[in-house]
Amino acid sequence: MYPTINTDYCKGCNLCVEVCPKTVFTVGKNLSQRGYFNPVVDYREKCTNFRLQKGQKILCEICWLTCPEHAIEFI
Amino acid sequence: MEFFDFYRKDRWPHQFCPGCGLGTVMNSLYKAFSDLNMDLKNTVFVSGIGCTGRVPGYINGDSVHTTHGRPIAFATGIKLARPDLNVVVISGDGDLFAIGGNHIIHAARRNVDIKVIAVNNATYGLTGGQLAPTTPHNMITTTSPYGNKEHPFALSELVAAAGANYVARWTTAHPNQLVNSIKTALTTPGFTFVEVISQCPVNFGRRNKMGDPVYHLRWIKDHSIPLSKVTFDMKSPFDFMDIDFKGIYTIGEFVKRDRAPYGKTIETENNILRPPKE
Repeated sequence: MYPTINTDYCKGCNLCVEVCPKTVFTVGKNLSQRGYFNPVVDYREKCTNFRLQKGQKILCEICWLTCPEHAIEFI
Repeated sequence: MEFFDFYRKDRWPHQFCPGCGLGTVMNSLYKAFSDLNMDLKNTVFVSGIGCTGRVPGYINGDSVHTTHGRPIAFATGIKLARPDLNVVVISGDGDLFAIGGNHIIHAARRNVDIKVIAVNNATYGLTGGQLAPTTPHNMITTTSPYGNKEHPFALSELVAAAGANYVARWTTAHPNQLVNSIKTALTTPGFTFVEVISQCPVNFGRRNKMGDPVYHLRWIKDHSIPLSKVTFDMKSPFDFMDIDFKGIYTIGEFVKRDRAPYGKTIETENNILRPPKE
């Protein structure tokens, strides 16, 4: 399981880059279709939940809780 | 409960500014509700006017959008008319404390069984960033271009002194603690109050060199200290509320009391209030 960013919802506030203790996200450089610089999930293997299977209890969800737009989903 | 069972998917993405702390509060509220397995059909969300007053409009349940400053008065009426409902008030600092300051003091004194979540962004965000009673000392707003020369309202300390059953203050930089606090507030009978220090990068941060929401969140995190770490030379946390560029917000759970709520104290046989037998 690793975080993904929904480009339909993301407004490019980069709060996930700030709060993630494992630096999974990096600041994006390309404009999205809605006109925001969305962050990129660069190092998804660094995420605490990376080795979990789907349906297991998520260990760390600080990015999910902080994201004001509900753009982060774990898949 | 899935996220979009709690919130309306057709209203998403919401209309708050990029980086607004209200989204974090909405996530925490959903998380607390789904962890407690509470039913949306037994819950009424009451809000006033302001950015935070728009949050119940996104919730897939019953909500009341009331006049400016009077959500507590409406919530008291709802609770007394239908004691079986959970009443949750979500509103901002300008609505609850600037316009409706007396309502919340007396609701806390009566200990009405309502749960209040106050989102404190330290300014009037919706109308363009004017000076609010909660603006920290020496901060710049549109109506105080030389810095705020007043001292801010200490919301949690005020409600704790007024006699609420549960009072806590957290920030958007501490979402896990905020979830636990909202859970405690929703399950405690009586007047419970959770204050959330939130970022407002567009109307408050932009005028104080914190226009990026990341900088504002970092500022909030650096300027908050847990109640357990407040040392003796800082005197009491009540003296420590003069927040300016050097000052700090005290965060934590302030009060846990076990008083009987207002609805229980007036409940008698056949719902008719009688004088006590001698």
